[in-house]
Formats: sequence, C-alpha cells, structure tokens
Amino acid sequence: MIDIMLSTFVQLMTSPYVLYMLMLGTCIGIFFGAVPGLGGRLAIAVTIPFIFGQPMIAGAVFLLSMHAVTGTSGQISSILFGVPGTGDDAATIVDGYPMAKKGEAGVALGASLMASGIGGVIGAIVLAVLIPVIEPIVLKFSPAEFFFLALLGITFVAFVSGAFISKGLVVGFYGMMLAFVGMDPQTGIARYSEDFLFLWDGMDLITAVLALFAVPEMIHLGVKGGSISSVSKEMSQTGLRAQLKGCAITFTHWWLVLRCSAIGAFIGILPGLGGSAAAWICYGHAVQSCKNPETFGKGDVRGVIAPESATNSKEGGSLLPTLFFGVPGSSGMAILLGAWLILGIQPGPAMLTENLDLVWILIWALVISNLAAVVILLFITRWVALLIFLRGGILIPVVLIVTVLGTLLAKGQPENLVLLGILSVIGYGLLKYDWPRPPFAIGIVLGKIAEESLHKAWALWRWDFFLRPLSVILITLIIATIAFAIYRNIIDSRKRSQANVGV
Amino acid sequence: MKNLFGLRAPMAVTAPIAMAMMVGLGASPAAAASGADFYKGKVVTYIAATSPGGGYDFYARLVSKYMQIHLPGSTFVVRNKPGAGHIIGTNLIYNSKPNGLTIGIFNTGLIYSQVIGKKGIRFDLAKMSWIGKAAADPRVVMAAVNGGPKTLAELKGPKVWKFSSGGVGSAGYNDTRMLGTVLGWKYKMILGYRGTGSELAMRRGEIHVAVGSLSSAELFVKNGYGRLLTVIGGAPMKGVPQLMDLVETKDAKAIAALIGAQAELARFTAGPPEIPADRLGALRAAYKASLEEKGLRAQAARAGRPIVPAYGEEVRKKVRAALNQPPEVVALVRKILAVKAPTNTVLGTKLLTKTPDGRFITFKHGSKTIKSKISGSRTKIKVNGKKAKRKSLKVGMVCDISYKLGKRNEPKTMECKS
Repeated sequence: MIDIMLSTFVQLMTSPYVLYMLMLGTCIGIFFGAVPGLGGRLAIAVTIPFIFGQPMIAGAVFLLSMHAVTGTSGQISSILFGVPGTGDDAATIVDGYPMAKKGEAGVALGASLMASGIGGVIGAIVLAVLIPVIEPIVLKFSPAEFFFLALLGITFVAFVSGAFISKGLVVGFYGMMLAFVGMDPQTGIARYSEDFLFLWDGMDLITAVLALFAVPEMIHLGVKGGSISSVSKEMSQTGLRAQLKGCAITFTHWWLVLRCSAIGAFIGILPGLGGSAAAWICYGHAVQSCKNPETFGKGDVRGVIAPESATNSKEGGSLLPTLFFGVPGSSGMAILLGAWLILGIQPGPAMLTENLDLVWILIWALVISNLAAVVILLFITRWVALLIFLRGGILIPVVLIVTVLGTLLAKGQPENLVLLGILSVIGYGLLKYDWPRPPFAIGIVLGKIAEESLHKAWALWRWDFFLRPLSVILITLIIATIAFAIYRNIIDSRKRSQANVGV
Repeated sequence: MKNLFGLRAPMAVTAPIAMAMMVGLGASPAAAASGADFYKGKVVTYIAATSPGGGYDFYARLVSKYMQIHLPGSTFVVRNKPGAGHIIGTNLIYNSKPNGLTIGIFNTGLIYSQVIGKKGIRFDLAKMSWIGKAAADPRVVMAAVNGGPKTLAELKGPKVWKFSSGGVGSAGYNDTRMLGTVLGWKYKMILGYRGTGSELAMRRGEIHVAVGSLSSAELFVKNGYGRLLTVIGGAPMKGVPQLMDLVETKDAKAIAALIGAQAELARFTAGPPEIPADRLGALRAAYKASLEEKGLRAQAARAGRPIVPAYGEEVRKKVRAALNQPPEVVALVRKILAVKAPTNTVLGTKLLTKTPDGRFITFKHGSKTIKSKISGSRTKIKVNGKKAKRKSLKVGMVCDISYKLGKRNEPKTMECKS
C-alpha cells in the first residue's frame, strides 16, 4: 500500500505534462467556481471537447482538479458581496458577509480558503482510507436512513434561528414549502406550478438563494448608504496579513474543521444528498456544538470554517461510489464519470485491482489541487477584497447584474428572473424585520430529500423502516438534538429574564 | 402563458463562454468543404433539452462541432434548455422561427408522450423538420444480480417484484406499467428513484428490476451488478432474448412493437416545422457528412457512445410511423397509463361486509382484508354489467375492484356479479 502510494506521488511529480494539466485544471476550476451560476458541472461540460485526444491520466487529473477546486473559489463572492457562487456556497454567506461588513473580509477569506484546503485534503484522506470498506458503508444507507438524516439536518433549524425559534420555524417551513414545488413523482401532478414548465423540476436553488441572501443585502446597502465595509480601509483587516491571520484562526478551530470535513466526506459518499446539504448540516452543527452560539449570524468565523471544510471534503467522499461502483453520487460526479469514460476509464470494482495506480494519482491530484488553489487565491483575493470599500452607488448595480447573470446561467431559463424578483421582496422583508434566513435554506435543501426518501421508505417497508438498526440510531440522535435545543432555549430565556431583572 | 419571455430570449451566457473555452484551448475547427451560401456568417443555435453533461449534451456538442465544419462560415452554439423531461427544450425548438437557424436534440420518449397526450406539450413531432438521428438505444428490462429474478418468466410471480422508476409519467414508469399489464407481471413500483439512484438500490437489494435504456444499463451490467432479462427492439444481442420472440398475446405484441419502434430512433436532430427546403437540404447534407466522418466516429467510439445514423426523409417517415399507432393500441396505452395515482386491483374477490347505505365495505386482497370507503360520485360501480349505485351492492358479490391506496382505499371502479 505504502509503496504504491509513494510511487504514484513520484510518478505525478515527475511528469511535467500531468502537472501542467493539474494546474491548468485548477485555474479553470477557480474561474468557474468564482463566477456565480457557473460551477463545476458546467466547467466539465464545456471542456469535454478539449479532453478528446488527451492521455488518460493527464485528462483525468485535469477534470478532477478542475471540479474539486470550484468549492474553494465559490465563497469569495459569498463573503464579499453575499452572492453565492453556487448553491453550495450559500451557507458561507450567513457569517462570511457580516465579517466583510465589519471590515474583517481578509480574515474571513483566509479562514475560508484554509478551511476549504484542509477540507479537500481530508476528503482525499477519507477516500484513501475508506477504499477497502466503501461497499458495506454505502450499501447500508437506504431511503429510510436518508429520511432520518435529512430530518436530523432539519432539526438544526432550531439552532440557526437566533433568539426566536418560532420565527425560524416559520421561515423553515416556508423553505420546505418551496421545496415541494414541482412535479411530484408519486402522483405525476405538477404541484404549485400549473403550466409553468420551468417550475416542473422544482424551484431553482440558486435563484432562491440569490433572492433570499444576495439581493436583500444589496437593497439594505442601498438604503443604508456607504460601502459594504462599515469601517474604513485603514482600520479594516483585508490585506495579506489579515488573510494569514484567518488561515491561522482556522487551525485554532482544528477540531471543528476535522468534524465538518468528516461530515462533508460522509455526505459525499452517500449518493443523493449533495453539497448544499453538507454545507448547511455542518453550519447547523457548528452552531449547535459551540458554547456561545449568540455570535453566529453576526460574523462568527466558525460559521465560515464549518461549511467551507464540508464543501471541499465531500469531493473526496463522492469519488468513492463514482470510481468503485460506477454509480455517481451527484450530478457533478455524473458528468465527471461521463468525461472519464471518454478518456477510456471504466469505473467499477475492477478499478481496485487493475487501476489502483490511477486511483492513487487521483487522490494526490485532489490533495495538490486543493493546496494550490489556496495559495493562488491567497494572492488574488486581497485585490478583489478591496471592492468592499467601493461606494454602494457603484457596487450595487454591478452586484445586481452578477446576480441576474447567475440566475440566468444556472438553468438558462429567463422565467427564473421573475422568481428572483418575487422572492427578493420576501427576502428583504425577512432581513428588515430581523427574521432568520438560514432556516429557509435548510428547508428548501433538505425538505425535498426528506419527502422523497419518506415516500420510498414507506413504499418499501411501511412501519418497519423505523426499526432498521441505523434508523434507531438516527432517531435517537434526532431526539437528543431536539432535547438539547429545548434545554438550551430554556437556559437562554432564563439568562435573558435574569438580565432584565438585573436592569 | 408558459414562456414569459418568448423565444428571442437573451442568449444564454454559457454559449459564448463555451466558445471562448474551445477557441482558447485550441479545439476550434477549421473550415473545410463546401456548403450552402445561406449559412455563411450565420449563427446556428443548437438546443440540447438537457443540462450540460450526459448523453444528449454529448451528442449535441459532437454533432454541432462537425456540422459547423460542414457548413462553412457558420458558427454553431449549443444552448442547454433542460426541464420537464425534455418538454421545455422541445417546445422551444418547435416554436422557434423556421429560418433554419435553430435546431436541437431531445428525447425519443416524447413520441409516446405525444401519443398519450401528455400535459405541457406544445409540439407536434409529425410536423417537425427532421434532420437525422445519431444512434439506436433499445429499452431493456434489467434485474438486480442481488436478489432479482433470473428470467423474464419469473416476473409473473408468485413473488411480487419491486420495480424502480423516476416517477409517474416517466419513461420507466410508462414502460413498466405497459409491460407489466400485458405480460401479467406481479410487481410493486417504488417511485422517485432519480438517475443512478435506482442502481444503488438494486445493489442494496431493495429494488429487483428496472426498465431503462440499454446505454445507461451497460456499465452496471458490465460491472456484474445487473442482468438483462430482455431487450425490446434494436439489433439482436448475444445472450439476451428479444421481447418480441417471447410474447404471444395480441396486446403484448402491440406494446412490444410500440416500445421497440422507438429503439431505432435515438439522439434525434430536428428543427421547427417548415424550414425552407433549400436550408433544410443544406442542414441534412451537413448532418450526413458529419456523421459519416471518421473524426466524429472516433470521438464517439472513445466515449463509448454508439453511432447508428439515419438521415432526413427516412427519419421523418419512421417518426411518423411510430406516432401513427392504430386506435386500439392508443386505447390500450391510454387505458393502462391513464391512472393518476398508484392503484391496486383485485380480481374476483367477495364482498365480506357492507354498511346498509353501501358507504363502507370490506374485501380480501390476497391475505389482507381491505376496508374501503366508496364515494358516491367518483366510484364507478357496475353490477352484472350495468351501472349501479353503491346501495345496490350486496355481501357475497364477486367483484373486480381497483382502488386507490390510502387511508380510505377508495375504489375507482367496481365491477360486480351477484
């Protein structure tokens, strides 16, 4: 094992062409991740003509490194402007953007880059370690377990709702309601969508997230005046030094990074949950597991670190079923699989016996591209970060144009712009009257997964699905989480009433 | 109003980026050969009715790359217009200006979406300007190696097999229901498996069988997880029987022919109706030249994508033939598929109990006793072949009952004999 590990590393480092392709892939991936609405799937789709005629290893490394780093660059615009690069990056807005407003953009960027980098590397390690046991793990998770996992994620609404759980629940249910828009596979009826065909596949996640998070912030900025950063350039932390400080902070939260990377990789392994679920579950987990959750949502660096480590680590995890079963875990992986087939790679159990060299080269490529992306972005982003000092009058139109483009790029359906408009009004209302918005994202991301798996589990096993061994464990976890939420809420309200009495 | 912005919507920004990437990466094809003058300096939009990646997108990019070479001076731009099971993209192609500058690729399954009159369809495939088709992709019945049946005959029972499908109205759902009905399968369909989710479910053993396309089943079978029970249409395959050779009844043959007719027609390229003849001729010639070029075939072969082309008029005739189903087949398909929610049907069961007003009944289905609430308005009841009210039902009558699954188990139809 060790010898193949080392020999493939040497092989990779001594072939300049493969390294060149790795770096090229990383750079293109950074670009596709950074522009809202593009993302890794599209990157692979448009570069497919280019990989015809490439040698197998170079082509495979190019595609994987490109796809892997889109998560690293995606959060730049989330942090700086509150505009998520893809649906997966939305969770980073919740704390990343307030940090930019406080003038801590550099710290937030440094922390998110480092968390992404470490997450990506941990994902690769998980991939390497789990190769021998992948089969039993993946096959243990049936629709029943998916349902309880999604439910567990939904209980995190209680923690990301701020002071008023009731408000959070309302917003969470609203998100869930929107998740139910579209063609219902169980009945073949188009729910809440009538003859609007663009709604048949469900509400577009990127559009919803842009409307709930990005647009309201821009309106707010316009109303308030000034620039995104409320402190002046001289007083703020945006330079390379601040970024390095952010990197360092990441290491002081190493336990959180480790946990969230593990959760992310785990969710990546399970086909069908997806990157957005990973990011939001980790965000909720960070809030739930810390001792002083009241700073979350107001620019807590832990709220940046948690989702970022998850989005990159899931890549390594999701390679497992793709490579060894030939069953891709996400739509992005499905496209990657298709492109690999073009290169002559036949994913399946035979990869372990006949192509183990290639597997290890891919693991190394994941590690190197993730680290390279961090270094490259550390140098680029400090210039980009200066944009937050621009006057709102100049910045807002540009950001809104990017938002509109992101909406169009995501699905290529102009109708989504109407949706963007309507949901933006609701989003601004939530912002103005201080209602929490993260529960919305959790509702829309996990609601659909919960519903679909519940239908399947019920059709397959009826009540028995509650009694599967893993189900029992997950149900216990859910009950414990809810109990903890109630306990914490009681403590909080006592603290508040004591404080009031004190006054 | 379905498309708020009409068809001259702003060009998706993906396209210029895709072009820039291709040029930047040195994949820009050089102009060669001669072509129709009209296309010099023109931009042709090639609509793919799916998202980027995957089979349709692959063929879209491959075909448009080579057609651009064979129509000198033209620029082909691929636009992805996914959604509603190819209906959004196909609606767009059909309703675009017939100037020969918009063509595209979409799913063969739309043939019977049109035959059964599916909601949302704003096209008539019989009238489209057919340019060609690139492949053949027959449907297959695939069983899980883990716990699935070994032969097609086993599907008749006694075990009830679990089938997966994407959802009501999907191709897999329609095929399963049609085949299941005419071949007498004992099955339960579990809905909501998207993409390769069904393959994982087969490996877990929770799903036994699925009906899908050969191209998407191939890798799963090659890896030793799946077993092909039968193939419907297409070229003969070694070791896999053709469904047509296995079926006997008239209905079964009709359904096998209906599904098989579409096997030959995969990966279409077509434009809106009434493209001027000279332009359509140029498009067809360029398509033919493209598909017969070595470079295109080599690229497809590397990707494991088959090329089984047919061109122009031939494709048009075949599509029309597939659409032109005799009324009895359409009636059969409609009868099988017109069910909106999953229902159970029990034949020749005795009514065990009944309330005096006929509102509540019980009957046996297999070993289970089903309690059912009859609706006065919705449930259609016949007694001895004549329409009847629920009051006229009597305990002891032998009935064929098809009932909705749910709390009330409301019967949709009851045909009883006293």
